[in-house]
Amino acid sequence: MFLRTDDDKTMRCRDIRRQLHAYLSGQLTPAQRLRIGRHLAQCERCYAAFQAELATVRHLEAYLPALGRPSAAQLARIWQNVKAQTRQTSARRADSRPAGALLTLTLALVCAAFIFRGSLSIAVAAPLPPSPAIARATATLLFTETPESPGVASIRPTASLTAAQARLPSAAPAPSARKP
Amino acid sequence: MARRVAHPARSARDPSEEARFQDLIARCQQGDQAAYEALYNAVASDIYRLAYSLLLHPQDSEDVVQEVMVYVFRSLRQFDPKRGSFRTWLYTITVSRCRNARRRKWLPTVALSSLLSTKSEPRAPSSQSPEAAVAWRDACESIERALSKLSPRLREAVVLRYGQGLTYREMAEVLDCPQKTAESRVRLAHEALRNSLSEVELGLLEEFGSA
Ligand SMILES: [Zn+2]
Repeated sequence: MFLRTDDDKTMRCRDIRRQLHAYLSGQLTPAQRLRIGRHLAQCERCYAAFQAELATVRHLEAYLPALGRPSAAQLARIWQNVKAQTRQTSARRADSRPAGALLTLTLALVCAAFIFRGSLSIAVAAPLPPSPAIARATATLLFTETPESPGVASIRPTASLTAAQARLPSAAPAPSARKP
Repeated sequence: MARRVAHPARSARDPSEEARFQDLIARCQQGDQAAYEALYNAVASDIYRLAYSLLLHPQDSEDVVQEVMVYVFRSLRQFDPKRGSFRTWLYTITVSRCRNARRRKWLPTVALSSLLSTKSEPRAPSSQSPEAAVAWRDACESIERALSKLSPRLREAVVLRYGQGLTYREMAEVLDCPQKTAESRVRLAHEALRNSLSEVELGLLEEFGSA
């Protein structure tokens, strides 16, 4: 009988400690909070665990937001690189535009032929896998030098971004790829 | 979900901030050049802090911020406010780029020696005495050292939670995991951090944490 009560208490303590984190971060219902609060008031060891958890939260809240604050010089340097890199890729994409346009034209012609003849065989024969070049050529943000202020880069979006941009290669997931 | 503990860092769901982002994004899409710079200025520091806390390496963090901002500027049309806040979208991209950076370049898990040679100077609150500034820096170093011993997943969780002030729901969104998983990662990170910080270090942190 005595042993069993002891087990019960151990189990209760383990259960309480597992919930201390949720308790501190306001994740529990009022009833759960009350239960834990009552236990902490009478169990020294759980109270000590609670104090330790509280101290950890305070330390993290105090120090983590201060960790790695960049200097103004760093931010300015990164901004210059962002501008330069965006301008560079825009220029490269602009170069590939004639090829993209040619491909689009060919595609249009094949489609027209398909419609006029009503024949499936032409469409099948069309050597036109969807080209990423088209997507790249249409999805462009351009940093350009404005003539009136030489040396000062300006940003001007050129062709509008299209649905084809979803094919742009990227390591980062687009928001649409996220689960709700 | 019940109210979370008050936190000094900005919440990712601050409605006025989100409205300001929407306005800047709309202006960017209309070709307003100043809006791009304003958007950068609004988020770059937080993105850097996030990257630095995950990678613990200044140059790699700069590279990540650059990659993220270039990608974001090109992909503004892909951002759908109905699916989440701009800030959580940014963090999702940043965490992903940091994971890539870690894969690209081996970063030691326990990196004290390399940290000491390359880490950025932690900046103390400006009003402090020189002695206090030294103590602040020591405290920051001990946190950084403890962070460096965490596994990448636990580090992400604790940094998003306390460094950026995200709710567990927002964390689940950024980390693409169930909310319960985000919570348990933070809890595990707590335990690991508490164990790896020495008594002396905890005393040092106490001194500033309560100040
Ligand atoms: Zn107990």
